[in-house]
Amino acid sequence: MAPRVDVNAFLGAYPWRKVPGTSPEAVAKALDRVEIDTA
Amino acid sequence: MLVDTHAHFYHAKTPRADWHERNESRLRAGKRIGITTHVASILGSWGLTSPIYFPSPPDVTAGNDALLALQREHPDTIRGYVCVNPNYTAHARGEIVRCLDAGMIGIKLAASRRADDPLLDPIGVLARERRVPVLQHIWQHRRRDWPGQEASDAVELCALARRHPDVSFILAHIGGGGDWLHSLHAVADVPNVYVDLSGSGVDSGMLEACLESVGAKRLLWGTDLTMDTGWAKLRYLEALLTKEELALIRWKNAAQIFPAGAFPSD
Repeated sequence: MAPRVDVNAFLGAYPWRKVPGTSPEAVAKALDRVEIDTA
Repeated sequence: MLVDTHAHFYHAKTPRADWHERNESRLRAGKRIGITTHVASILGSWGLTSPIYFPSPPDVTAGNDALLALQREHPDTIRGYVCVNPNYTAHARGEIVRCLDAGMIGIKLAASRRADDPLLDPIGVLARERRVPVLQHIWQHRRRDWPGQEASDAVELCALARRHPDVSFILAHIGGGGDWLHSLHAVADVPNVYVDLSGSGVDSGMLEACLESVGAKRLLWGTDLTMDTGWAKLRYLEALLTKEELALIRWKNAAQIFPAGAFPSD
């Protein structure tokens, strides 16, 4: 399968409210789940 | 099976000239995604002849009639929520009886009146009598009033749900914008409130937080106006859940709260 690249990923805290899934670990986990190779 | 618990259609007396094409494209996209049933509502004239969130009684009736016609045209794929404006109690109750008798399977409340207002109690009583769920339009953590609508948030819906513990309420479009964590905290311990996953948004961690708050047994899949992100959320859930958990969100929870036989293969 061709590599999947997310060309517009978000990392870090949202500026105006709490969003729990934006730490590097959480983003990496989410990328793994949907088989995205690089973000 | 895959039940879209938050769909919409249009009709000729709405602002969109391409209303028929949009209805058809929803059905086409639904086939591609694998949707077996679209549970839909029409909000009056969608603003053409009375406000979307404060529809006049004649517009409410016309919208419901259009949806009934679609349900008759597509008996295997379309089911209806009867949309009402609870400020007109007698008309609202009459519409609910008329449309449920004609085959609709739920009640849609938009933003005509705050969810915790006593005017919603006669609707709740009727929902219990007819054993149908109520889909309530929600602003995730409303911080102020917005023109043209009396929007509710999860705290207000939970107040209504606690007054009517035997009725299933659906908190609309958790991905529809706003602070969904606020909503998830509010509904966590209110067992008769289900969360619909529709809305165009899907922030990082949102689906995980939904599962943590209410579990797979109180989540319903849906799309609202944007089907592509609904499909994306479904794909993500496929990677996150067991087959049994996924089946709950795809259709089994819906089959539980809608009337028996609401879905073709139910």
